[in-house]
Amino acid sequence: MNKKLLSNKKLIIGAFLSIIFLIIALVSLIYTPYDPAAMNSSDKFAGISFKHIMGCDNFGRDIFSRVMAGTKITIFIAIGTNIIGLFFGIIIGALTGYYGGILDEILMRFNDAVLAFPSILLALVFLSAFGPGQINVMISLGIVFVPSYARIIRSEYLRIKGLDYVTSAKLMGARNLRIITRHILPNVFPVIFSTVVIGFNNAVLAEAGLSFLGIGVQPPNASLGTLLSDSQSFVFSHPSYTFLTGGFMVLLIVSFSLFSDGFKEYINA
Amino acid sequence: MLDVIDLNIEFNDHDMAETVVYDFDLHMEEGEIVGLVGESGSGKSMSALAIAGLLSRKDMTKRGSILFCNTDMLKAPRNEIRKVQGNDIAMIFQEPMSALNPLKKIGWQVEESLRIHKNLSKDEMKSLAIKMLEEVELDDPESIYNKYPHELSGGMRQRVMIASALICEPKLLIADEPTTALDVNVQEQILELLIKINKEKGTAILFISHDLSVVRKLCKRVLVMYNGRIVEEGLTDDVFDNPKEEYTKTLIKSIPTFTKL
Amino acid sequence: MTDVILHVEKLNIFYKKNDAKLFSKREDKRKQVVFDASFDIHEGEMLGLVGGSGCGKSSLGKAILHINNDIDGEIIHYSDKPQMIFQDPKGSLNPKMTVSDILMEPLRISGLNDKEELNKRVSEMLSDIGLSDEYRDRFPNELSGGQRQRVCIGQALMLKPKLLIADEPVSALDVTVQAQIMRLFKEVNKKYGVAVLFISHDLKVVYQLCDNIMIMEKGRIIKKGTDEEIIHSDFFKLSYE
Repeated sequence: MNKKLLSNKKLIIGAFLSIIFLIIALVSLIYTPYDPAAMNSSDKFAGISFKHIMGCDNFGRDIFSRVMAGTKITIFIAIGTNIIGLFFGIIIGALTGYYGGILDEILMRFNDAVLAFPSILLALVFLSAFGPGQINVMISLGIVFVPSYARIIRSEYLRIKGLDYVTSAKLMGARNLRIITRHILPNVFPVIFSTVVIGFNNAVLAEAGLSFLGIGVQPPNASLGTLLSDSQSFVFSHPSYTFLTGGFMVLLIVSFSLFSDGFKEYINA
Repeated sequence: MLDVIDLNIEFNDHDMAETVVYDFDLHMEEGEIVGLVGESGSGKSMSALAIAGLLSRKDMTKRGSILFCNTDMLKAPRNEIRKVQGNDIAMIFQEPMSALNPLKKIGWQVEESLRIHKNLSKDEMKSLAIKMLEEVELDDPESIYNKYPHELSGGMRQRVMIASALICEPKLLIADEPTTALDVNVQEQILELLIKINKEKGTAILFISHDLSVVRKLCKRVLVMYNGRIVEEGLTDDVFDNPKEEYTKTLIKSIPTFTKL
Repeated sequence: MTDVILHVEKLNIFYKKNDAKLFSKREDKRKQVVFDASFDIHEGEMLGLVGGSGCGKSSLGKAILHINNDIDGEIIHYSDKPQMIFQDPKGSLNPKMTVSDILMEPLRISGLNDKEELNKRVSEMLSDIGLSDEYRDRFPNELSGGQRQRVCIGQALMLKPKLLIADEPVSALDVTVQAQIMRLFKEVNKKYGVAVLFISHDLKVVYQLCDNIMIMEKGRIIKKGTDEEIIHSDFFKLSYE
C-alpha cells in the first residue's frame, strides 16, 4: 500500500504542488507581503529583488502579493463553478438517467441545445445579463458546466440502473430515492471524480478568459486572469510580469492535473 | 510437433510477483487431441495463450521453452511468430460474438488469414472460404458468406470461428472453452464437428475446458491443472476411472449427472 | 398438496423494441417471447425450468417479478417480496458495499435500524450461507465467484421470502463450485422453507435439485411433470440419449 503510494511520482509531485497552491491561497486571506491593491509610484516596474520577489507592476503594486490574492480568487471561482455544475448536474443526470421517458427527452434536448454553443460564449451571455464580478463569474460558468456534467452522470445512471444489484434492491422494496442515492450514486463517484478534475482546470481557464476580456473579476480584486490581462500591454517592455503570472497559472493547472492523474492511477491499481 | 518444457509464467504488475503457471510440460504429436482441464484461474488459458505466442505483455516474465515445429514461441522475434500464427497455429475462443468483428461480413473474416499468409486472388479466396464454410457444416454457405455476425446464432458463429481458424489448414488448433457459451445440443454438434475435422484433416487440437464431460467425449489424453500446476495427466479413460489426485476426484464427482443431490 | 404461493395463468410476454421518444412516432414493434405460460408454484417446492438459450425462460422468470412490464395474463402472488438470484454474481452485488452492508440492506429498507439486531442477523445469515464472520467487511471484488453467489443468496433470504427465482445461478461458476452452490440451495430450501424456481439450460443440474420440472422451447412450456416423469419421457430419450 505505502509502496504503491510512494512509487506514484505523479501523485506525490502533484499533491505537493497542489497543496502549495492551496496554502498560498489560504495564506493570502490573512497575509500578503504588501497590500495587493496598494499603489506606490516610486516602485513602478521595480525589478525582481528581495523586497519584491516578482517585482512590481505599472502602478507599483507588488506582483507576488497580487498573484497570491489572484490564486485565491481563481481557486475560489473554480471550486464554486464545479459545485454549482455538479449539484445541478447530479440532480438532472440522476433523474433523467434513472427515470427516462419524456422528462429525459425534454431535458436532454435542452441540454443538447446548450451544449451546441461554445461554453465561453454562453458564459459571456449570462455574465452580461448578471453583470461582472467574481460571484457572477462563478454562477455563469457553473450554469454553463451543468449540461456536460448532467450528460455524463445520466449515462452512468442509465448503465447502472440495468445492473442486477439495482433490480435486487427494487425487489427488496427499496424506494426510488434510496436506489438513486444509496445504490447508484456511490458507483458513479469514480466518473464524477475524473469529470470534476477536468472541470476544475476548464474553470480556471474559462475564468481567465472572461477576466482577460475585462468582464470577469473587477478591480480592485484580481484573479490570475485579470493579472494576465493587465500584463499583456507590457509583454515586450517588461516580459517578466507576463511570464511570471502566466507561468503561475500554468503551474497551477499542471499540478492539479498531475495530482488527479496520479490519484486515478492510485485508486485503479 | 509441440514441445512445451518447464513453462513458468509470472505477473509482475503488482507489488509482488505472482506466478500463474508453474513448470508446465506438454508434448503433442501431430493429429492428437489433448484436453486441458481446470477451473477459472488455474492457468490453463494463460498456458494456451503462451503456446499461441499471444503473451507479449511486458509486465510478465516467462521462462522455459515452447517449441512448435522448431520455432520457439517464447523467444523467436515477433516476425517469425507472426508467420506461425494463423498459419500453423490457430485459436478459437469462448465468446464467438466478441471474437468476430461486428462490422465485417463473414466472408471477409474467414478470408483474413489467407489475406495475411497466402498470396491468392479474390476469387480463389472466396472459393476457399465457401468450401471451408461448407466443411463446418453451415447450410447455404454462399448466403452466409455475405452475412454479418449478428445475423447468426451462437452455434453458427462458433462454426464460422472454426472455419476462419482452419482455412490455412493449421497443424494445431487451440480451442479455449469453445462450447461453454452454447446450449447443450449445440455443444454436442460442435464437438462432433471438431472430431470430424481432426479425422479428415489431421489437425491436432488442444482443447481447453472446465467441463470434464465434454473433454471425455473428445480427448484421448488429458491434463488436469490446479493453481497453476499440472496435477495429473494421462489417458482420459484412466484418469476418469482411476483418478489419483484428490483434486481430480472432486472434479469428477462434481460433474452433473442424472442423480439426485 | 401444500398451499399455492404463485399462480401464473396464460402469461404472454412481449419484448419491446422502442421506447417512447419525443419526436419519433411510437412504433409498436412488439415481439412475443413467451406464449401462454400457465403453472403454479407451491410452498417449499423446488421447481425447475429448463430450456435452450433464447427460449424465453429468463424472460418468464423476470416477468413473474414484474421486472419486464410488457406482459398480459395473470400472475398472482400469495406471498410477500419474492426475490431473485442472477447468473452473473459480479453484477448482482453492489461493488461499493461491504458484505455486511449488502446483507443488512433488505432489513434497512424494511425499516429495521437497530444496530445490534442487524449485526446479529448478519452473523446468522453468514453462517447459514457457509461464510465465516471474517467476510463481513469484504467488498464483492475480494470474493470468489462462489462466495459472491453465496452472498447473493444470503441477501435474497434476509427478508425470509417464500419464493426465490434463480436465473441460471450456477452457470457462470466452476464445476466444483457449482456443486457446492447447488447443495446450498438444497439446504436453504429445507431450512427456510423457501420455494425455488430454478432456471437453467442444463437438465442434469435441474434434475439433481428439483422435485418438478418444466421444459421450455421457443417460448412455450412444452412439458411439465415430476423429475422422474421427465427423465422417463419420450422427450428425454429424444434429446439426451
